[in-house]
Amino acid sequence: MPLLDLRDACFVRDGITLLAPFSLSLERGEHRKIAFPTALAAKCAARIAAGIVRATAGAVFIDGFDPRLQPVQAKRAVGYIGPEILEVPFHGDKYIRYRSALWGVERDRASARATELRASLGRPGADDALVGAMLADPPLLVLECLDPAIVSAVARVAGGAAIFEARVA
Amino acid sequence: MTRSAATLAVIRAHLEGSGRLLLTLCVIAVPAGLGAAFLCAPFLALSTHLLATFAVAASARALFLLELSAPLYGRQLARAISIVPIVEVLLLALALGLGALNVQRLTPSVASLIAWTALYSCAAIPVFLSGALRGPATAIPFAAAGYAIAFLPTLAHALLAAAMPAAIFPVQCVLWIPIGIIGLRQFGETLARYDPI
Repeated sequence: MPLLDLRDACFVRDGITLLAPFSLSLERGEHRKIAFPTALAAKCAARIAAGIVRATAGAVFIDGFDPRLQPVQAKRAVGYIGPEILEVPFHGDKYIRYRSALWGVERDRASARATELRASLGRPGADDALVGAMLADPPLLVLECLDPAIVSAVARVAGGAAIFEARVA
Repeated sequence: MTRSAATLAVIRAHLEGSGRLLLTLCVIAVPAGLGAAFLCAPFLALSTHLLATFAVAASARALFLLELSAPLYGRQLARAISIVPIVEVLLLALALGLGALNVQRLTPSVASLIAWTALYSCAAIPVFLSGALRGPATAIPFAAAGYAIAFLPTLAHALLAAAMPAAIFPVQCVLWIPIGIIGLRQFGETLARYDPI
């Protein structure tokens, strides 16, 4: 069973097609980079794959769960990193505590994992959002229009997680 | 890790984010309380709208997006996000009361009006929040509904104070409780269907 399975997923708002139907099947450990014609299309694709936005048509399965019917189970399998997430208003341990509470990770475990991830990333200061996304060891990482340096840093420490990277052509 | 840990984390993060706005409104609330009692309802209604909009507005967008990507149910997130402006509005009502107390205008009638206006403003919060997540065309009716709810206690007080003062409490309760419950359920639905694009 693919970890991420998008079948003709599209997104239409007010009669305007923001994301034309597209399909994607991503297995565990796979890294797939897809270039979309516009930033909005890339944003829609990444957020649909992360279970944040519901596709207007088509089918979406994340780790076998339909995010429309089982949003919590689907989102638990995903670590989403987008440009807006990188601009969080607080940092450091405070941010890690916040993320661990949202994802239901024990504080001690989260703290130990954060230290481990920070050391592996080797980019002190700017990595709270990246560390936060990988805190619960999700099997799927969704990266939305990120700087290539950030993408390679994430890919380096992702372990066996599958990565779906949406970017602008 | 319990569900309440996530709820508390959301509340704490949003309260910290809106600290300055709340402080500014509290500073305005004390002189507003010094003024006439009729200022309380418009002040609280406007503040409620501001605080509710701020909870999901641009400055809180990163937090909000993160919370939408978290494994939380829509209704759980709706409750957590609604609690933030509720706490803030109750603090503002306290500041208004202190202002009124300062000039010895805090008669039982004024105190009751401030308390009910604060409670109705709390009931209006999910309506304002639902409006803030919609496009301009649908946001306006939601905002209008929010203001109507926030002004209901003033209307009920005006209508009942002279004729049946004893009926004020039961009438307010009968109106307030269902409005609050329906509003919160509606906001949970709005949040579950919200697509942050």
